[in-house]
Amino acid sequence: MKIIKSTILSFITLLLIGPLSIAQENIKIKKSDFQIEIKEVGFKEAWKEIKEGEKLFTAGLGTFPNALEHYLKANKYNSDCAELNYKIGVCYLATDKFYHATQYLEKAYLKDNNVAGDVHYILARAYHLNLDFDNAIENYKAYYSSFSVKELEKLEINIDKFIKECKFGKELVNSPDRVIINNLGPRINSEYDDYNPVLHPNQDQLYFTSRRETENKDKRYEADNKFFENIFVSKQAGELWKKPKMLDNKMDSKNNESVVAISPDGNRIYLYNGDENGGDIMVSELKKGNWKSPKGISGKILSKYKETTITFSPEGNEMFFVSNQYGSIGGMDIFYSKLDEKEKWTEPTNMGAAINTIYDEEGVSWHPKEDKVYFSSQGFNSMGGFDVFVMERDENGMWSSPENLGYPVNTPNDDLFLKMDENNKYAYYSSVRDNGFGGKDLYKIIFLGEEKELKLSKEDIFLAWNHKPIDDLFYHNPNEVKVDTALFMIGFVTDSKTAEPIKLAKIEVIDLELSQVIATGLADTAGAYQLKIPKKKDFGVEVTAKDYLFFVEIAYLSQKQVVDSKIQANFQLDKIDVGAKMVLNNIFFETNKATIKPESTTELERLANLLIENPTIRLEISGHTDNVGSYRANQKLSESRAKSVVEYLVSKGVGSSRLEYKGYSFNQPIADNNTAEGRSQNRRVEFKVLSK
Amino acid sequence: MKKTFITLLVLLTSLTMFSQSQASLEEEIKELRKKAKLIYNEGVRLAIDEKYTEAHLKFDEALYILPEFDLPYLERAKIKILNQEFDLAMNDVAKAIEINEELGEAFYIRAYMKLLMKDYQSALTDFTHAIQKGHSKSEAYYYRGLMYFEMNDYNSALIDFTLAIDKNYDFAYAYNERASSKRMLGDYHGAIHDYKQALAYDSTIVIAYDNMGSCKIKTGDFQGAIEDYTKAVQKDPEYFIALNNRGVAYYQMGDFEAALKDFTRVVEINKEYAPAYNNMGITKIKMENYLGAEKDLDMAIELNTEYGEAYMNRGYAKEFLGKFPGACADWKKALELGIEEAEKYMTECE
Repeated sequence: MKIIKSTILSFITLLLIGPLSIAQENIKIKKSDFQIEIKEVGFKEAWKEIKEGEKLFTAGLGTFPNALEHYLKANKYNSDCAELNYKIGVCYLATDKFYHATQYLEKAYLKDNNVAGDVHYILARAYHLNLDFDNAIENYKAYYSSFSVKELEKLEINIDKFIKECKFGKELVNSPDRVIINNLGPRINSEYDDYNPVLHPNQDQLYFTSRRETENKDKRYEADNKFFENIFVSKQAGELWKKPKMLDNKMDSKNNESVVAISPDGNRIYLYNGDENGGDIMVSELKKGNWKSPKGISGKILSKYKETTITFSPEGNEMFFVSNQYGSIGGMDIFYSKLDEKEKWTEPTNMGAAINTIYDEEGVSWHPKEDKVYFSSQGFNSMGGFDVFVMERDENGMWSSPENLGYPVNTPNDDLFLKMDENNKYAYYSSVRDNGFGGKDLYKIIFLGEEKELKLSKEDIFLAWNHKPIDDLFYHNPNEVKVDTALFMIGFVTDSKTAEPIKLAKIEVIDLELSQVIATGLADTAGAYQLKIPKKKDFGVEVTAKDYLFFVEIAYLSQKQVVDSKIQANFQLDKIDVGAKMVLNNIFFETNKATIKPESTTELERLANLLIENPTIRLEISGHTDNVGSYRANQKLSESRAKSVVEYLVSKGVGSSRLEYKGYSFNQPIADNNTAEGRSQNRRVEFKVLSK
Repeated sequence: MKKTFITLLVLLTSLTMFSQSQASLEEEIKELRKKAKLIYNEGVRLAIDEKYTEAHLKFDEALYILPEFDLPYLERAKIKILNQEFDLAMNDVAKAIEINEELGEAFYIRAYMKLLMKDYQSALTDFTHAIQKGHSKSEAYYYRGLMYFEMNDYNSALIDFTLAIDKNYDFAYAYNERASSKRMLGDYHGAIHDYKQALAYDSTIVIAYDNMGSCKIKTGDFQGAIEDYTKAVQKDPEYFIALNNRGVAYYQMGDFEAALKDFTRVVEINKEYAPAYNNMGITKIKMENYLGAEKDLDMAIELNTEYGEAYMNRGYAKEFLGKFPGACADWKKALELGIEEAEKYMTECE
């Protein structure tokens, strides 16, 4: 097994060790396979693109991106050509757009699973780079099994290593670290490779290497057809980096030059010069604000071999550098030197197999404050390409085994030149990612602490009342109080002539509808009375008193004003004097007869009582009519009716000697006989006091 | 002996006269009381007809005639409550209680006012007095339940809401409040049942849909919760709390696009609702839009400078943006505001 080692005398050689570790098979696209029989239109142009592409593909890895452009145009004519899809896939793998390779390679394999002898290997590389580790392993194994034992001995690639990378990659991807990796953006990164960030100790300037096109250095490097390396510097403006400027480093290199480190005091800048002695590290000192012409670093560091990156301890008395000089275990290794008592750098020593591998190590960088060193390696437990590792020196001065910085800092592609911030919060490095601007880009890694819980805000209005209070819930039933609403009938009973109060006059209130006495009372010494009546309405009232004629009338209370729940009603009684008369309004007879109706009983009883209570008085009971009919007939009727009353009174125990009766026909009218009402009043029975 | 007899005679005469005078006074008072009651009743009838100004005047008149009449004070207080004149109302109710300390409704009204003034402990005491003095209608239990709830005594609240429902079986609000009590006690299924009952009796209680949704989230029924929140929003498209909660449900289900849409709508309805800005912020964090998240969280904090959770989340966004000093400052502030988890993050800031 032969391990591939770069022999190109350039800092960037390591960057060429990309996804395609071997010269892939240059299968030929046959016209007969590409041409579609029934589709003449466009074939001529498409075939021309194929031929252009083939030329560029054959030229080597550096022109694969150019070949890709032609192949893609041809693919528009026939997207089912297995060979063309294979080549598009291969070309994509050589670019930063490697993630497009899989679809073309899968199609190529689908159309012809023997499209190329290394199709499984190329597919495996595509899956590997795209983190599809299971499919990658499967295809690596398929590729491996396609060789005989003898052929395997000659195989220039280490399939076992790739499979190991995939297995380890799976582990890392399944437990990603909490980091954010931000592209430094189009202000810093270009469509070309941009890498090796070096932060000034003041952290206000960012130096980096770029292979972008420049005005005065537009030559391309033969090995990869890209522009030569140049150094750029960007100054910080707030949270952003300003547009970078090319560094005037006085190095005057015609080819590749790269910045590799700045001394902790910021006064020396270390540069890689590909022109010198197989590739050397130079140092330029800052004098009065200007960088002086770079010189080779002192001591025994430099060799006829290649020295690329260098880094110094925070105190500046120790260094690591990367070289493939004598003593290398394999390819580029990490060497150590320190200042002796005479302030001279000691003979470099290889860090040994604990740190260096048979593969390349690169991009060594000492932590600004701590005894930690970061570097990239293709060996150890890399998940593919260069991965970034860290080693730490313990109290006894022993360096720990390198530890992979994990996913997503590392990828199956090349991850290099990590420069850690002094507080371990962030770092800059170069990587190839799908959000890049082209080639390798500079990224800022933000190292997050432990997983933190985001705090959602949710709330509810638990109580309906708090959302919408019930309106005047309490006001539905106001408190009405029970009040004694009875009325009182009050007044005075007096003598009709003298207005003297009639004490102990008896007042009875009669409900005319019920024909019931509902209140009875006596007048006091002042003749005043007060009777409770249920409501304001018309009642019958009877007032009686000793030595007085009784008084019976309807009290029209409904028409009277209530003052303080009282209705005033005064009564005047006539004294029993000889000649005094009284109409008996409530004696009723059958029409044109002398038969007394039953409803007359009350009035007759009242008259009987008057006679009983006043045993000495004598009365004349007289009957009267209206003027309807003859006098004679009326006289007879009036007399008969008077007689009927007398007979009733006698039947109640009144002596007949105390009673006389007489009929007056219509000789003594009391109202106008020309009206019905007058005639009604004229039809009556009266009594007159004859003696007392 | 003769002198004694005369003295006794004079005394008796005086007593008789006094007795007559007393009787007359009593009669007069009786009349006044009756008159005051009649006027008071007129006021009550006016109040029932919602002629509160005229009613108020009648109660004034009744009290002018009979200042020691308890009920006009009480009814006048009710009108003053309606007019938001709580201090005056409180004076009237106090007077009513002073006159008649057995007047249960006066305690009830005073409790109600204290409830409005969020003096929950005093309100609770007065509602209890009201119930003890016979004013034990369903509303009294309901309101006392509210007080227990506000004071985090959910067991007592549950009992009172049950008593309120027992006295008034279609008391929709009481079902909702009982549901919330059950929810606070961890009985989510019981709560869901009561929320449904509340809605069966009054489908306009949109918060019942919202609360039911939140209970379903507790039972893991996110889809059911989203349906309930959606009903709340359909009933009241401006009910941004349900929208916010639906957004939270979408967030928890991992549908950040839908969540962001809801939160955005919330702030369209209520641009001062800080929780929605907070939620928008963390949704954007999940969508890896850290700058957008930071802006939203800035807004949340601007609206509520004591918003500990928003500080926590903004620290998170700043961390992702590599703004570590700012992140640490936010976590420190969150810790000061009582977000204890921030303490362990502070170790990263040392």
